[in-house]
Amino acid sequence: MTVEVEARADALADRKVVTVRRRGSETADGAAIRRWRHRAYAAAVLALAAGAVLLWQGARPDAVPTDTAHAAETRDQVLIAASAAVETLNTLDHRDVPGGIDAWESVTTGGLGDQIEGIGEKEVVALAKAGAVSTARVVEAAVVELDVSAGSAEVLAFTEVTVTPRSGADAIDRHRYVVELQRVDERWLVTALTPMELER
Amino acid sequence: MSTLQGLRTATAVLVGAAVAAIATVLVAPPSSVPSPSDRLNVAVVDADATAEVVTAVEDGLGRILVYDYRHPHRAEKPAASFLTGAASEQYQQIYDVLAAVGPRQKLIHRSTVSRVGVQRLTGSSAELLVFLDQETVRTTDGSVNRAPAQIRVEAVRTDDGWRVSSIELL
Repeated sequence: MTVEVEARADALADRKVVTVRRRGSETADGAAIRRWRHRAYAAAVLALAAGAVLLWQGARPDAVPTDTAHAAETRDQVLIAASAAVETLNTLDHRDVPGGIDAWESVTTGGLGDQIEGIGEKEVVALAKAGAVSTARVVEAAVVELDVSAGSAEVLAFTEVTVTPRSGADAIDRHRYVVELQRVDERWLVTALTPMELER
Repeated sequence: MSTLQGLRTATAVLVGAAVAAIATVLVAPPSSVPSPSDRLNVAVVDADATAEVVTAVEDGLGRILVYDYRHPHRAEKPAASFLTGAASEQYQQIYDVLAAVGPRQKLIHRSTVSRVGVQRLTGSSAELLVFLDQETVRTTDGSVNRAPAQIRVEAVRTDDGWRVSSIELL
């Protein structure tokens, strides 16, 4: 390979030298010019090779397939959306039950969405009468399934729900959920929120 | 400028450029330039790599999160090969709780992995959320206690495969 390149450089150099001589514009030592021409060509080849290596080195760390990077970004969005939705769905203030239910509706779709839409006046009154305030915090969550093209995902979420009753001390409930999500108009909405029971 | 001078200058410039390029590559060796799999979180996204770490952590935890008063040291060997760093001490603390009452109450304990979610995964490390189902049998009176537990696990890839470097009870 190297021999070939040098041979080609030699051939090119010779042709250039011939041209220069024919023009007769230079009287400098022909041998020295030829020698330096060879060196210049060799240096050019070396510089090109080094440049190529540099480019390859520089490009490599960014050589993440676009699909993978996009899927990774989507996974992070799903995790954020799922965590926020699980917190919303475990949060309710007896002083504003309709507002709480509206919030639930805004983060759900499909089966769970239908269920929440089906909450009747009786249940709203019962929730208001219960007189409790629930606030939830997702302690840890992880995406376990993701289909970017189908727009579906499954997330595990471990939550801590603080229930403040009308009277008495706060109670902390710990729940673990499997959360199913569906993408609707670029938003990830919860279709099912299933508490994980112990396997017997 | 004569042809000779021009050629000398060109040669010098090109050699200089080549040297600079090579120096750049050498000054920033590949080890300091993380490969894509070391930088990007490929949890879930890389299905094969995700399944591999899940299986390794599931298997390893299954072997060490056990206690049997008849063989109280059975988990020691698998624990030594599966745990590294802070995880060894964190595991010892969990184990000590069982070992303190185990012989007297004749306990048989098993934690089984119910679900695993990989939160972060690169070529060399992983973070996982693990849901456990614990079952403790008190042989003295035959009572059985079942309870869920949640742990956050960190793992590192070694030449021998994945090893757990941290276990945090949630």
